[in-house]
Amino acid sequence: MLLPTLVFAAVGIGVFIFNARKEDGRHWRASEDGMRFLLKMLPIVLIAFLLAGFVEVLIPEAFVRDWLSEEAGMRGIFIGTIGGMFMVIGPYAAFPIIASIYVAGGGLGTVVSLIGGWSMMGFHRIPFESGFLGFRFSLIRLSVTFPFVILSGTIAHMIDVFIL
Amino acid sequence: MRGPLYVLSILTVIFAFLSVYAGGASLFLEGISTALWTLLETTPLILVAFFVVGQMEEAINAEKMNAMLDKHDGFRAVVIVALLGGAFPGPPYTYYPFLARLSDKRMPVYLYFTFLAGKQTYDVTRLPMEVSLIFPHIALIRNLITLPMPIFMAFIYRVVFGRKDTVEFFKGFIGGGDA
Repeated sequence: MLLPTLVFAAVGIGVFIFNARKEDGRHWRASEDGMRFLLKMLPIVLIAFLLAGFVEVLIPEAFVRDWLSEEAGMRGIFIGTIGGMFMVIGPYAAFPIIASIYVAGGGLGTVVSLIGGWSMMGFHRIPFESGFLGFRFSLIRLSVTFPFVILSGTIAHMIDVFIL
Repeated sequence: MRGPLYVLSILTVIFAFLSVYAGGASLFLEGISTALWTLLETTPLILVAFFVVGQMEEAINAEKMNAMLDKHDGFRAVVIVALLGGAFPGPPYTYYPFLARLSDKRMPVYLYFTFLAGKQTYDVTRLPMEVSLIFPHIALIRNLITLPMPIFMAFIYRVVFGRKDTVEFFKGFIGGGDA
């Protein structure tokens, strides 16, 4: 975790300096906003970690092996995509759960399609999307996106099988 | 915000009971200790991630995006719009109103879909969370695989909608109820 922490610290400092050029205190305001956002999200973050911990110890090995592992192949990719769509939670909650599925033995294809299903087709965004842009817009977007999520899971599965 | 919190809390309680049912107190404690270790390990990165999110939201705002979208067209527009989508900070209740607000600018409608494909694929404010909460190598592979996808999607949208603009597409919906 040290390397990503350092990389993002560098990015954060870079954008902080960029914001500081305006000399109107927006860089401090942005720091406060970030920390306020963290405080606001903290209950969800903590509960999500707790849930992820239980998921990790509870998922039966046989289920992971048969339905989500590298051996599950396309079945795992489809389950991952559909499962991701139903994960109506934010990134701070979704990622620990997805990571726990990987730790429990989930295949790379399943994990990538889970992230794709959640991030590109998640049902939690549909009320906003259809509310602002209409159901027709949502339906078209979901129809075009679905094959791409399956494709990304399939490519990840092939990387898992042939390269990793 | 409360909705997801309640749903997660209920799920956590259910899973806690399930762990006691399946493996007794030891499995329950194992679940808690797994959660605490992961949390402890990722805390520094979570702090940095939220700092970056705050700075990004200040650096990129709706006015800057609007000005850039007005300037470009064609393949370059597709790439720029997809990247702008990825750089646009905030949850759905920030970027959907932004798109709705731009709908009277007569932008090609395929760029709207491209913006969202970029947002949902490249989301830079989500990236720190992805790297910190998921394993970095998975985040890297996932991002490399999906990197060209918004461009391919844009091509499909362009074939389907051609030069149809947002005013034509959303006629009777935005500001006038669902037609």
